[in-house]
Amino acid sequence: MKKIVCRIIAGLMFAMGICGCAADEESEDYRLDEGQKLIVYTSHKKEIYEPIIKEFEERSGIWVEIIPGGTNELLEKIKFEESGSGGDIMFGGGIDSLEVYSGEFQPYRPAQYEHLDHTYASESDAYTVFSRLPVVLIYNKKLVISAGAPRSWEELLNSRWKGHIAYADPVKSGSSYTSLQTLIQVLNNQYSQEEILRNFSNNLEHDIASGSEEAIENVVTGKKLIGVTYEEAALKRIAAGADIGVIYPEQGTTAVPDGCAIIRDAPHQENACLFVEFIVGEDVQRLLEDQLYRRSVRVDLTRAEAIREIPYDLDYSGEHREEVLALWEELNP
Amino acid sequence: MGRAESMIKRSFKRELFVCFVLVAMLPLLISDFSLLGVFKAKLSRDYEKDAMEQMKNIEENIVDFLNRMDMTLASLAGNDTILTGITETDSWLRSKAYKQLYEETQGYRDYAQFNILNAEGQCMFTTSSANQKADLPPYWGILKVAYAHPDDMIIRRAGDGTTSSLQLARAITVDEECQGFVMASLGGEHFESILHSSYDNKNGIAILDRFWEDVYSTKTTRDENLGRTLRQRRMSGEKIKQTTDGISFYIMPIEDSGLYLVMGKDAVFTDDITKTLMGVILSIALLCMLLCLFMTTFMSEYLTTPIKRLTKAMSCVQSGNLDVHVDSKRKDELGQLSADFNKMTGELKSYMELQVRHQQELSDSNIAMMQAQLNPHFLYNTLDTMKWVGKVNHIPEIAVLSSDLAKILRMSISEEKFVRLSEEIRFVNYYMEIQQIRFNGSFSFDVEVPMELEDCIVPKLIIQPIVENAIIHGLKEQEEGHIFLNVYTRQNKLYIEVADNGAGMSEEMVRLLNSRDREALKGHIGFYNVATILRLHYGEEYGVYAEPGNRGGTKVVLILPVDLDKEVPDAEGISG
Repeated sequence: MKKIVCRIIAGLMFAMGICGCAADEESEDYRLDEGQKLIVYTSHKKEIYEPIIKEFEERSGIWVEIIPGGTNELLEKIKFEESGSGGDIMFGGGIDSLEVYSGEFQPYRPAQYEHLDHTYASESDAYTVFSRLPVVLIYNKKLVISAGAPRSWEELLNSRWKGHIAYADPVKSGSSYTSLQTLIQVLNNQYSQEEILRNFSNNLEHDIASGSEEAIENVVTGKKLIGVTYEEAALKRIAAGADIGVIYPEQGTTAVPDGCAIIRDAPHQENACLFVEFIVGEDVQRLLEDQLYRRSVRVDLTRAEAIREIPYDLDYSGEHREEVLALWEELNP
Repeated sequence: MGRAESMIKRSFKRELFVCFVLVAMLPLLISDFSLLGVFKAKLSRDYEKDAMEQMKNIEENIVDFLNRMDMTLASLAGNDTILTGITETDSWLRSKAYKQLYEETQGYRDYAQFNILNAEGQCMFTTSSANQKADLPPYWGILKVAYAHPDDMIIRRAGDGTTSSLQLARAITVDEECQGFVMASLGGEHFESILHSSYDNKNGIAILDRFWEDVYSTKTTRDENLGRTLRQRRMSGEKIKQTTDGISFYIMPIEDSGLYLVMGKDAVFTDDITKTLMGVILSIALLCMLLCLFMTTFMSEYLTTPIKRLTKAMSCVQSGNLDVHVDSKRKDELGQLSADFNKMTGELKSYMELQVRHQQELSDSNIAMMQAQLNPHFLYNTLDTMKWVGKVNHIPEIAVLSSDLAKILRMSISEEKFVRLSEEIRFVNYYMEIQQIRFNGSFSFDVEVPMELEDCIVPKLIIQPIVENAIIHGLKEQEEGHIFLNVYTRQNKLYIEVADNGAGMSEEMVRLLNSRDREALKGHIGFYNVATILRLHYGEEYGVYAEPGNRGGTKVVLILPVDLDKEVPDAEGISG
């Protein structure tokens, strides 16, 4: 008897449930096929990834889910994520960082590989280079006359600029470490590594910016006279109206590229490959130079003002990272 | 479950309560909730219909507008003056081109901003009042598509994170060579003008592009960040519409433009309404519950009170009180039950009274018999002495009298209750011997007993009182009296007939004798006793009956069952 009553109640509830659900069915028409999706982890700034990804969507018809974050944060996430459950591609991050995590990536060599600069190409094709980011010196045009601006890397150790250099903490900022390594690698034949660090720290008078944005800001506002930063950051500020000048040191400078890498066992691997082809394609690379103040990794794209480039020793940089940063922290408590 | 069930089943009231609650609440709740569901469904259907109408309206507006824009852009793209303005640097020609642009876009400038770009994507002319740089790379985005499809108007979303707009572009081609682009850009304020009054302002709308990114949204939907939420849901494969949404929204593609229209309306059932409805349902349920409780109490009282009273009365009866009476004015089954109970106790009571009366009657006769007991040994001895005195003095009558009397006495006080018929008749003979001496032989006595009946078992001393009556009453003042004792069987019954030829008796007397009325038979205690003994021993169909004799006199008939089986030891003293 009780069972029958229970069944009747359950039946009624079920019927009511069906009535309630019926209205929702139409929205299922908008279900996306897995083949139409791509999940991108990116450490780029929004102004970089947004136009590129939007254009990718329009051209390919693929819906891209963007998960932004810091380079190291995303790389750690990839490392600890169950394989195949997370993102498809890591878009952004210096190749030195990507190299460290190369085991997490699916080797892929884009069809346009021949058109790309191979200086920093991954040996295992774990990553593909995306844009080159030269390290430059900047100066405040109002406070330093063009003729008096620093011309070479040595000047950073010159007491003339003592207390006037804007510099971000290399422990916190990846780009700052790259510029510190550039300084070391350029001057290594003249001074020992420790001498360079000691003199440079001394010249900074322990006044160190916490991030690269703050370092530029200090030069723009005139708090500091000169600074070290990426070309992209400087050009962007100039385009926005800042009165600062860019100096390409006479010995040349390093231009370590950032890259992108397909995550191992990516759920949408085909789309990820399409994305790699797209970002190293002519249009995106042109856009990098025209609108995004970056340098293309394509050798077939000519740029009006070529810079003198010196090679950046990735191995050296990686091997001495701990040592350099430890010494840095000791010198700049 | 089992415990609750046994808890319920232990009390009638609880059982009743559960039944009532089931019967009352179940249909109530089911109907309430299904009503709510139907109501909800109907309301949301109406809502959807209303939204769809408005959306159709908006769609028509947009499609119409886009068509007109297509024509405008086409005519701009085909305008030679403007083309000349792009390629020439002469300021007069440029000014003419500008004038042309303003003329052509007359009436549309409130709805869009027009730009003319050259083949490199540099903005040559614009209707924008702000001095924005509207250059676009021709290898990128909308211009690339417009370049690739020179005959179509291309529709694209443009956005820089905070604001977004819809861009329309068309390539200017001369001899299949791209000379530039005409573009129209529709910002938020333009959409407001276009869609003004084509929908209810209370509702929020949003226009999404192919990838469900916001192109335009009214304030409400922008606050909700609807486009982003919807895109997120579609990306992660969640349901587009979710029950947790504060608003209900409807999505519709805008023809083949690749755009989607979303309309957000306040949810059909706001929390407030739902709360109110639930409140009403709950109060009704509560009321029902109270009613159930009340009805349970009433019904269980109504049903159990008579049962309780019956139970109480029953226990009274068990303890022996048969005077209980259950009052019930009810006419239903329970009333019937009470009435039946009363009837049953009544019958039980009268049966008991009858039993008691029988018992009393038996003991009365016992007492009478016991009172008749003198010290028998003294009497025997005296009678024996009298017999010997009679013999010594040669008065044989005294010897006979005392001998007979002694035998009668012994027989009458013996413990035996039943004797053979022959014994009984011998007893009667002793008695008659005495009486004949007493009355000086003025009557005769005959006995006729078939041999086979002599061993019949009968209660002792049942014939003598009848014979005595016959002598005392029947032969009173009679010269030639005759008493005839006849024994016979008929229909397996033993008939013992005592007839006399005496005065007979009146009809009233006959009726009196047959009436069994103890009071009325005061003077005829012997008759009464015999009748009672027979009836008590053998039942109502046996007894003593008096009737007028065949030739005058009186005939008294004793009716007994024929009982030959019973072994009765010879009563000592009677045979001896």
